Amino acid sequence: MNCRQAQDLLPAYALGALEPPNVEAVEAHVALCPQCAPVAAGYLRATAALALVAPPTEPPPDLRSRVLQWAAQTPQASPIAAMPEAGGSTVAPRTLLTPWRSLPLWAASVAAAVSLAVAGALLLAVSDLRKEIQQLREDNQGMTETLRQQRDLVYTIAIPGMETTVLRSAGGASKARGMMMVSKDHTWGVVVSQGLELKKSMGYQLWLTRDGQRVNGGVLSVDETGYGYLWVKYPEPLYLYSGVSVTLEPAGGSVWPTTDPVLSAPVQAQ
Amino acid sequence: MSYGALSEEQLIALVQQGDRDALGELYDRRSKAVFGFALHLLRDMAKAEEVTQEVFLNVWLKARTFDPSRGGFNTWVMTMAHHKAIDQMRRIQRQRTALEEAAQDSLVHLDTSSDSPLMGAQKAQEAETVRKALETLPAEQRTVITLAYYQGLSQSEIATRLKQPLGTVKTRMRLAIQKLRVALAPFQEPT
Repeated sequence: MNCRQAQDLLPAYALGALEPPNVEAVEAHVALCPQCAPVAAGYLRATAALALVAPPTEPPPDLRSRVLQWAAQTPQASPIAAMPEAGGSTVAPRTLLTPWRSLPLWAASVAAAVSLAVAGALLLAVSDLRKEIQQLREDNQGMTETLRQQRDLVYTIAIPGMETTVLRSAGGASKARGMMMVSKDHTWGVVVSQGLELKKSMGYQLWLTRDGQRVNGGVLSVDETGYGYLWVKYPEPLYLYSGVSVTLEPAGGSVWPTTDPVLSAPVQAQ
Repeated sequence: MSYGALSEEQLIALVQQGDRDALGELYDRRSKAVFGFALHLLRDMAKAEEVTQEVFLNVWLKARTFDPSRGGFNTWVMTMAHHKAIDQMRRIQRQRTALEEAAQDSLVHLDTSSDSPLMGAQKAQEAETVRKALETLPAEQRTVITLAYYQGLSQSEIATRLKQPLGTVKTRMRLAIQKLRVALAPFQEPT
């Protein structure tokens, strides 16, 4: 996406009226573009001001404590790698301007056009390189993590008294299936799954059902092959729950399930 | 530490370091605006509560990705609130499969007469200014802003609804938002 295309879409982006594929393309461009970033920020400030039309209203009194309680139990996301500074292109014209002054106007124009093209190409090349480096880092981290998971899993299976339960898809509708291994005292375990379709910006979340209420059990790490993995420290011994299930939720998980279970299993009472 | 004297940028910096009291202070400052806005869009207490909860959970989760150069804390929070509210709105609309119902009500309710009695005079003044800023837009520009921002329609849906080319809708959006930037400048966070 170039600046012209991005700026064509920025008003709709700021108004929340852009379709998802375009949203991602615009955000990727704005993150790297020193020209478009301030335009986007200006539009977003204006649309945020549109929210003032609504009267401020006190939310339910217990919501604050729920938010803070959840925060106490939830680690924060890692920061996104810093993007290239806008200086990348603002510095270039400044250092190139002086010699142009001694050139004829036409030559200066050509030089300016060429320099802008080169600067643009360099910016794109740097952007591509950053993406590749980031991808390699992620691949490496992914492989290390997979090896660690496999090692831990082997150790876990070898622990005496581990109980195993099969998780099945609702009505056998999908290829997804899973297995839950639970410690002898029912206080911790591991859930593995396969056949889960990896979806962008979404994750698979484990829920523990008790008295008709489902509580968060954590979000599975799922790779592109559909293999999922989650260590679980149960808030209460697992036998106190009536069942477990897995649902597709926004990345990072939801406060309560927002979709139907893709996997589930009853828990045997002791 | 006295959090009351800190700016929102200072508070979010503390949240980035895992300070939950700073999150609490930000909640105290912004939750009414977020909840009120979500309620205004969704007209449903439970769903507005859900949006408010998700927004502040995201403030915690994504604090370290917050970039003040992209519009300040209030812009960040209200943009999140808007996105989550229109997601809810679209979900509801899909469930009802009744976009036609909304079509009969193409202009948002901007009447602030039903405002909470607790609404401060300053807030009422701000709401009035926003309403007037919208009213000063040409009708066709106001309609696209209303359909997009307050009713959650995508630009393609708006083009279909208004039977106008997509390019026309984009132009109207751009012109409208440029005017609003000027008209609402006093309420926008400094650059």
